[in-house]
Amino acid sequence: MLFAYSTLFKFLRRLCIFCLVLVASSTLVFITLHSLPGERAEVMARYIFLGNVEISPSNEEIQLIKQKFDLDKSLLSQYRDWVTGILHGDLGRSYKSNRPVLEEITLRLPATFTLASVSVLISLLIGIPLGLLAAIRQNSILDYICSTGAIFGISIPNFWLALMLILTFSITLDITPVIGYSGASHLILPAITLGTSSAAVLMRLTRSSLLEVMRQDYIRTAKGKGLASRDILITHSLKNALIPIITMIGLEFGHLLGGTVIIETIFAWPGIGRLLIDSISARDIPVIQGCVLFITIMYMLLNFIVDSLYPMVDPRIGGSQFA
Amino acid sequence: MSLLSIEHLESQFVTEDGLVKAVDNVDLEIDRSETLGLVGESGCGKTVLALSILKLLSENTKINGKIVYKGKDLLKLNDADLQAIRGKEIAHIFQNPLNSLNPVLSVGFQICEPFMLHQNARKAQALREAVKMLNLVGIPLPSERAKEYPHEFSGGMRQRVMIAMGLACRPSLIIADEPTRGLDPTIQAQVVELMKELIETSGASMLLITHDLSLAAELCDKIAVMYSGEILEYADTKEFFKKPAHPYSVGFLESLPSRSMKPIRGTSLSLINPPRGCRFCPRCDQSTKKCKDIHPELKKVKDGQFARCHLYA
Amino acid sequence: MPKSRNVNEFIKNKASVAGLIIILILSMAAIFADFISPYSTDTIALKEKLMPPSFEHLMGTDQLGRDVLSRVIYGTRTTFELSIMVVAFTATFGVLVGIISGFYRGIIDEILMRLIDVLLAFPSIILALVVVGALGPGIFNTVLAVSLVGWLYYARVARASTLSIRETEYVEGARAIGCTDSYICLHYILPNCLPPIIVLITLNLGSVILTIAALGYLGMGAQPPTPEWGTMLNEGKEYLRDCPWLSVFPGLMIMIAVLAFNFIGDGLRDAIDPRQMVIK
Repeated sequence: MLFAYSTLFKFLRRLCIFCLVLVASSTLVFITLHSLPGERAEVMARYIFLGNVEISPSNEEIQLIKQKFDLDKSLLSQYRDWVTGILHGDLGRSYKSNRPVLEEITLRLPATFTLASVSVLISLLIGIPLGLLAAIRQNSILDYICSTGAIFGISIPNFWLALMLILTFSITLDITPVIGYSGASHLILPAITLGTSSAAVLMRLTRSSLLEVMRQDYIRTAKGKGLASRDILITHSLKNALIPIITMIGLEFGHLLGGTVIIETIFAWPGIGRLLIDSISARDIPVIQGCVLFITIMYMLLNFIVDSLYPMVDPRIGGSQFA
Repeated sequence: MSLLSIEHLESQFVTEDGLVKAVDNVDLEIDRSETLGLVGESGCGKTVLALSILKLLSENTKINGKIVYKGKDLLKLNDADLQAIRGKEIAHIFQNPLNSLNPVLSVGFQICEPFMLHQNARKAQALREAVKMLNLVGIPLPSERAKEYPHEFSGGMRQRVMIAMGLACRPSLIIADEPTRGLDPTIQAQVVELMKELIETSGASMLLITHDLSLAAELCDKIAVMYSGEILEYADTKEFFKKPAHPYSVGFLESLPSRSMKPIRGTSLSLINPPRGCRFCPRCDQSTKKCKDIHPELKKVKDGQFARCHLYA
Repeated sequence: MPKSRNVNEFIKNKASVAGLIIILILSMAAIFADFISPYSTDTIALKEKLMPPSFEHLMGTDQLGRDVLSRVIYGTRTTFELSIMVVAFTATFGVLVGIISGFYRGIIDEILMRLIDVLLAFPSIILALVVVGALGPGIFNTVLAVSLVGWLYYARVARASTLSIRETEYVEGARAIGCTDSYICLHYILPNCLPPIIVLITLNLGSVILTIAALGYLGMGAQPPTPEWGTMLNEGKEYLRDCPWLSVFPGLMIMIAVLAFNFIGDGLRDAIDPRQMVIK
């Protein structure tokens, strides 16, 4: 009974933090973008009157915009309007396309989701097994190759890796398409690029985590009972080694989401990351806000899920890493 | 008829500062149904000796010598044969039960493992046996507690779990490393009683590692005193406590709270470059020039008592 | 802290030493760019544009005829200047806040903890992008944007070190003989924080370089004609098919610099007594 109560409590606590982060980050962005109302009006004017963000609008045009869209209101009331809008599912309209922000985002959500999930899969399938192997055969040639490869993996800028992969596979060897969004062959290069750095991080962590576990007294106890190395690894070591890895996966999601911004731009992948970049260049403020909000939601959701995996691996922890 | 015979055992570590000879040329014997107490201060090498028997030391160690168990040299066995002996014929009960139990596996499962491994038992059968063992070591509500995890047990309970795990397959030899360390005195007494009972009923032999002489007095038939990697005295318990032979043993006994609590002057030596002569010489009040230069051998003092000291040469 | 043993450990690690040498070479290049660079970075010579690597131009020329090698060398200066600025600020500020927060606990500490939980894991490049997006691109805004979240890493490490030493008898003894808080912080706590902070600085320099280059690549960082590796990659990407050298060399430099810092950081982390390290 007490156990159920504490799990519920921890769940609620996590939920609170989820909401807190959401509110904090979107507010932060809101404030940043809205602290210059004059600018906003100017940008809007450029789009609405001139259809072109390069030419400067006249003062009258700016004034008209300010009046029409109530940009003269105080920051607080604008914030209130925005929040009310969100609660009704209205995130405003894009300055550039004049479509609802929500629509722009949901159109692109599947693309980012696909890219992100495949990348995560790649990094898990490469990083963790290699890390385990490197730890089991510590100081062997395999270990040396994997560890060195991993350091390269975390040092290489992902945009450069993307360019080099395109150069090698698309341009020189002509086996993969460069840009586009139709079919698995378009997904390979972006997913590999995104997954590499995470794979490297996971590989290093898995290796050190397993090595740390192997040094523990309870492994010696298992040996003393007569267990063979394979059983010791699978039954006694893996679960323990996974604990810090699960934390890292949550953090890597963050980096992955950040990485989509660049990767989607390079590969012309129609996802949210690319939308964010484009809207920043175009000063399309409602879209920027909407993107940040969504990315935050995605990130927190993923962490939520990862968090709830904890009790499955470590019985000492009843709840989350935030507890 | 000896069950375990340790001959010229040398266990060495390679460290940054040099070669550490934690166990330096030790000979010991344990008979059937006999309990041998290996006593000494921290760092004298007794735990290393114990771990050497089942080759449980870490990777950077070298073991030389012979450890003969029921006619087989354990140090020469291949992995599979050694694994068949570990936990089944010889069981090691480790120090520090909090760190020696796997935190993510249930206590019941950890006790199941020896049954599943050595007796080919199915999971359900093994679990039944595990619960029986928990009951045997005096843990209340054994079938519920078997599902719990080590962190949910108290220190004394965890120690009992370690004992249950060790005794699961009725080994012929039990190596118990500081089984009562860190426990409250009342709990200590309970664990001691438990061990006495179990040894008596099963007829197993035991190698008891401890720095607690009173514990050794209660449980052991014979005592071996270890210092700086060597055995300094080897005697029947009765003879030992009546009149210890080696000056170190004398000092050790005198330092007990129950006696005069007089400490032995000086500190123990580094095990890297041991001195030429007797290792206890720098701290011994009865040392002579001979002690500094010539390393003493283990010599018979009287029936049932041997000492490594020039006083008895 | 047995310094000589730590230094020995470090030297034994070949990768770390290699990393150190690379950074020294790059630093020399940055400092003496004026002397070793074969050409000036802003000489525009349209007749010689987009030439592949040759004897005269070891790394080829870019779309305005500028020598790529020279720009890469000056790019070292830009990159190092920016990253050092970021790290200098974030490390100082972060350690200060971390020590104060860990030493005095209380509300400040609670707030810092929450801030760390919330901000640190969120993709920092997105925050940096938003800041640059709001304030406009350029060097100063880049430094500001990257620093905004970076100081939290140092605060977390410094706080953890502070907490660990705060309760020791070492510090209690100092208090007992009447040392002031600031004296204790300066002479007891700060030295204890230094080993993990130094490791963090080397590793952090690597990721700061990556972030700055990423912003440059997206057109949000250093602006042309300033030679910065990321910006150069941005300028060169449209010529990827025909003039790949514009994309190979600047990116390679980024990787080498970050690699070197990672080698050093790894070596430092292994060499320094792990018991002194509070974080992994």
